[in-house]
Amino acid sequence: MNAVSALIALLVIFAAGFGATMLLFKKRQPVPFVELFALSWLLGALFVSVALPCLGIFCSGLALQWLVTLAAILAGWQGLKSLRKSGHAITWPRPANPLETALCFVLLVEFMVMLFMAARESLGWDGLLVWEIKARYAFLNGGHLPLRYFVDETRLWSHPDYPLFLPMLETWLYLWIGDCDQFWVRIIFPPFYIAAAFLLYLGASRLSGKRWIGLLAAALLFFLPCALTGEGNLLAGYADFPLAVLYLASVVYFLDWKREASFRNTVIFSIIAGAMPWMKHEGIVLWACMMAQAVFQFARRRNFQAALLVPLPGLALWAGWNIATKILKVPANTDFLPLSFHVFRANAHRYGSIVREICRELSNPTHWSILWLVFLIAVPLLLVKLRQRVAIFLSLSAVIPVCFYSGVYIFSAWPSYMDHIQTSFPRLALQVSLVALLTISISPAAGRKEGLWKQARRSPFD
Amino acid sequence: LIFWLVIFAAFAVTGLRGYRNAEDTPKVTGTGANACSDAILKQSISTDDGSQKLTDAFAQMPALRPVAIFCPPNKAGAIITSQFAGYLAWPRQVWPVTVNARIFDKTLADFSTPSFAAILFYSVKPRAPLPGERQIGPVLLLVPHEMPNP
Repeated sequence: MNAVSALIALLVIFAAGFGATMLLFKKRQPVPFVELFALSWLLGALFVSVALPCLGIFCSGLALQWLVTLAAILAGWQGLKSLRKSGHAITWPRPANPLETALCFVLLVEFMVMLFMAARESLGWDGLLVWEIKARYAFLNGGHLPLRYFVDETRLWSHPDYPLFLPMLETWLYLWIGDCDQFWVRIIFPPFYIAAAFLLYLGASRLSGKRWIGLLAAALLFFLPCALTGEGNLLAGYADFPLAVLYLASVVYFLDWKREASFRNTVIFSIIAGAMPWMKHEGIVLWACMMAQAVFQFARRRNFQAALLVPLPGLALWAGWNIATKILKVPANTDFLPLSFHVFRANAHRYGSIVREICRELSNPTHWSILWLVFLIAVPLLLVKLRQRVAIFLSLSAVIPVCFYSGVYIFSAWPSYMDHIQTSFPRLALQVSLVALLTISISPAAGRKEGLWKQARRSPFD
Repeated sequence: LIFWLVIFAAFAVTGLRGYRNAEDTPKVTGTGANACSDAILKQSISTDDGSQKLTDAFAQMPALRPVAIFCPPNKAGAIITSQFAGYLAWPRQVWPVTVNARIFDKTLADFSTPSFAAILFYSVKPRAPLPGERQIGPVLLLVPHEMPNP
């Protein structure tokens, strides 16, 4: 029975996301199934995670559950109506040659292995004691977190100041199951993996104009061991991989916007990027990276209205959550010292050891295979051969966050900052690893004379 | 193109080896509602169904009084056990107390007050059996504070 309830909860999420996605497609535009799946999941999950705490102010329990369900079903119904009336056709990426067939088969096997691993992997320490704990207490309190949790000094280890994207998604499952079921709540994690593979496929095939390169990018995801194994992996219920998926989606849709500055691409980019600070505190760093480039591009094209509006969803979520935690007097994170020049000068001697430790971690094949080594080869090649802004954008999207995350350990408040790096840096690097994977997977297309832009115009999706 | 295909093949092979060498993470062994917390708790308190046993024990205590958990200094598993006790004890507060052997009796006396609903002993034992004590696995002992009969 719990399995059926968990599946219904997932379907409601997809229904909400499907409705939102279909509204954004133009009339008679073909809708690639992989894009529909990825966007439906990400937008639906965002909808549920925002709706629960917002509506939870006014109602709780069954009323809250059915109110959110009703809104999601209405959105899904609108999506279906739009699908019928506007002549959209959902398209499947049918393999066109033996290479594509082989890669599709590999991808299918990988999905099956991932599902098998998902069935066995337990939620990890942080997965339970930082993220799921909030869902558990919210469920026990009728769907929204009790105020006393935020100021409970004996539960500060569970970081009550962390944002609620993942916990509210888990609460949604609990509301449907009617119990805090740690076994079935894990069902929310495989869709993030599948969405990541589909987004890699979309991004790489659109950029390169070759479907097999997209399939290759999606297939390579499985060979990134830290995504599915070890401390901090997706299946253990950590928020880093879901944040990586949001970051990848915002990069893919920003590139889409650069190719075609449509309303649809602008809105998807703005909303997906805006969801990042709602997933994890570090999301604000990734959001700022994206927004700096986006606002610059909008302003360059003299689209000042978009330059002002695009950051709004992210700002609203980030500011909303920060104001709420300030009002509730939630104790702040004490992992870092205040960011000041005085602290920087006092701890500047750490720089050498930090760089050594970061390099040691990024070259660890048990976590990353040879991702970062290949990235080091691919980036100069892309920059030299293409000399296009898209190459610079992709490279900077991976390099800037890694540099920022490395530098922040100068301000670490841990007694041993090396322990701090070893504990947290692999998870931070995971957040940008999917963009690095996208960057390396389009490298085979970089040798062609016409470059990525012209190839992209011949993309199978155009 | 061949260069890149070789690179990607190396990526795949190294990735697969990464799976083989990855650190062990807890695995669920049943389909119960506490499957994950049981899998992690088993590593620290060495008992099956630890979450349910702790939840049942907490359910018999007054909801508003806190619980103390006594742990020895530098004991592996003490942090995770006290955090899991806090996780399961909601809405009760769980106060971790690192106890030193020299002042054990004094610390115990300090916490044996009606303001605490119970004391959990993790990998430490009181010198003499205490009234109402209940063993949860080999390393965890729960001693509820005796409530006077109304």
